[in-house]
Amino acid sequence: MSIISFGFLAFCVLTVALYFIVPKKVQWVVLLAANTAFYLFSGPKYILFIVLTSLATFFSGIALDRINVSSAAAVKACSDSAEKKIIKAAALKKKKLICTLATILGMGIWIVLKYGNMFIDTFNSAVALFGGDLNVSTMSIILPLGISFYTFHAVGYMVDVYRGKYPAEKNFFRYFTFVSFFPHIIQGPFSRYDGLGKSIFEQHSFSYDRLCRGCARILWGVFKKAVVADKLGIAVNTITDDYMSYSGTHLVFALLLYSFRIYADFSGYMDIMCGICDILGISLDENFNQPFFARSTEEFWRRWHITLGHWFRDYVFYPISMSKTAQKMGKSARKKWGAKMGKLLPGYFALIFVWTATGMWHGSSWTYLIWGWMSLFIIIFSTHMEDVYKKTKAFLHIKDTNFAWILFSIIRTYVLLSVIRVFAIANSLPMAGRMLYYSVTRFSFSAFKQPLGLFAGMNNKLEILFAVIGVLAMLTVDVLKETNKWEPVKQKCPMLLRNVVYTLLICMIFLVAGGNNDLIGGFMYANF
Amino acid sequence: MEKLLEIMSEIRPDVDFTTETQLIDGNILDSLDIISIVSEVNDAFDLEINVNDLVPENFNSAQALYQLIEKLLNS
Repeated sequence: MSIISFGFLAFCVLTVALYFIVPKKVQWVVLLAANTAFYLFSGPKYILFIVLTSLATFFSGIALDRINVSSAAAVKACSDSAEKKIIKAAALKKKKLICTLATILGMGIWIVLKYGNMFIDTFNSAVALFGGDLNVSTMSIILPLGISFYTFHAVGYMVDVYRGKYPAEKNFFRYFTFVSFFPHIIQGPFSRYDGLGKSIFEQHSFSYDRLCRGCARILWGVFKKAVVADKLGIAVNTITDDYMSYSGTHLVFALLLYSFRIYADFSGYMDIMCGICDILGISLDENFNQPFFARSTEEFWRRWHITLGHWFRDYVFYPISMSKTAQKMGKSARKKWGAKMGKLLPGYFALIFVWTATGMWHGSSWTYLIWGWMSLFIIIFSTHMEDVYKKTKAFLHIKDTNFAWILFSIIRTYVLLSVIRVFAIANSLPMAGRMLYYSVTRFSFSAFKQPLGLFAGMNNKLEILFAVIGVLAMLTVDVLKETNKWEPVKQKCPMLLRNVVYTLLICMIFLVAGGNNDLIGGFMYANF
Repeated sequence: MEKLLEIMSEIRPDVDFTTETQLIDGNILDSLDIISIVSEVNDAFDLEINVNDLVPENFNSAQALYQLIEKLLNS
């Protein structure tokens, strides 16, 4: 089911109406029915995969919880500290086995379905390189809807129960309502059971204020998607698909535009889903915090796809960096290379895993892995060189509060991230290399003589105008949010002006999409 | 408490840990600082701070971290 369609609109209206008609105690059952219907509409046979992953993590959670409770009781009843340690160690051993098996099953399904063909292609290429004629056939599969998201939700839940963060859910249907929750299954955010789960099962009353606020946010999200993301996408795709036919200037422009396109696409989706949840009274985690105001790559990742970063931090970065192996490395580095390396090495070690996983998560091709490693290199390099930066800034009398320096840092981060995104756009490493090479060697200022020509493939001047207005509007909202002026501005805005803005947004959406939802493409992150 | 302040100051000499109460919420400490502090505290106090304890409430100030250490030592 397409998110921007009259079908989805009718689905949401029906869900919201039923949600507030039924007794509050069973509101979550309406959500369970809506989630199941949404999933079935999107591909009925693939529901088996989400049910299998949910069952595995649900029963593992129950088993882990029982071990937590019984070992805690045994430890409490025991007075001998040596015996306490033995009880804890035995419980930990059992828990590790359960958690590992369920993780292998859940993640295994995800890895096989998402990366199976990539590994087969690589294997075939390697065989051909050495002169072999063995050719393994690739699998003919379509990824189950939201597999990269529900797998992480389910595994995150199980690890939380393993750690004793909260008790296991005892009702499978309640648990499945959380895992399959339709607003977060296609593109996230990555929710936690003690956050979103709690909010889903609370009882909610209808609120007219929330309805208005939610609808306004949905409208803003649809505008970003239909008017900005999809239209800029035409220019980006036209240039990058046939980059040999365009100048380096066009390529540079496409790379810079791609950042805005993906931001409008992804944050537009988030606005729509947060708006729906707001109407229902459910809190959905935010995924963005004005990412284009980041002054460094590391800061960018604290502002962009925030819940993915938090997931990797809690379930990959901390466990690895705090592991005995990483800590030993740190202590050894401290002795050999001093306090600084001792402090940083365990983190660097964990970041290798985090960024390899982040690259792989974003796409099933080696180019994404290179993109992840380039991000890793930039983050480690800038962290390691921080002392040098500070000394250089002090020498040049540059203060962190200096506006010109802030602006320079923001633009530098934006350009750097736009450049390495070429690996997310290109189909292969040679293609990424050629695109970067032509961006420089074929760059020509003469292309600026016809600025509209840079929007290749966008033949309608009105669409270009609307897309540019959209980008400026998005940046203006972000500036206001960054300077804490957004809420006061919204509150002071007269109703008349507010309605004029809403009408303009609706008009622009209908003018570019013509009321035909087929003209609006799918969301980019849904492919991840 | 003095031992803890000494550990924290050694890792981030530029921060006044006696007064700062927004170490995490104010983005003063990053995740690399946190794991360094945890590693040193684990060794110095012979305890085990686990991943679950890595929440802003326990790391926003030296006082909050000290309370966590006391809790873990008494458990």
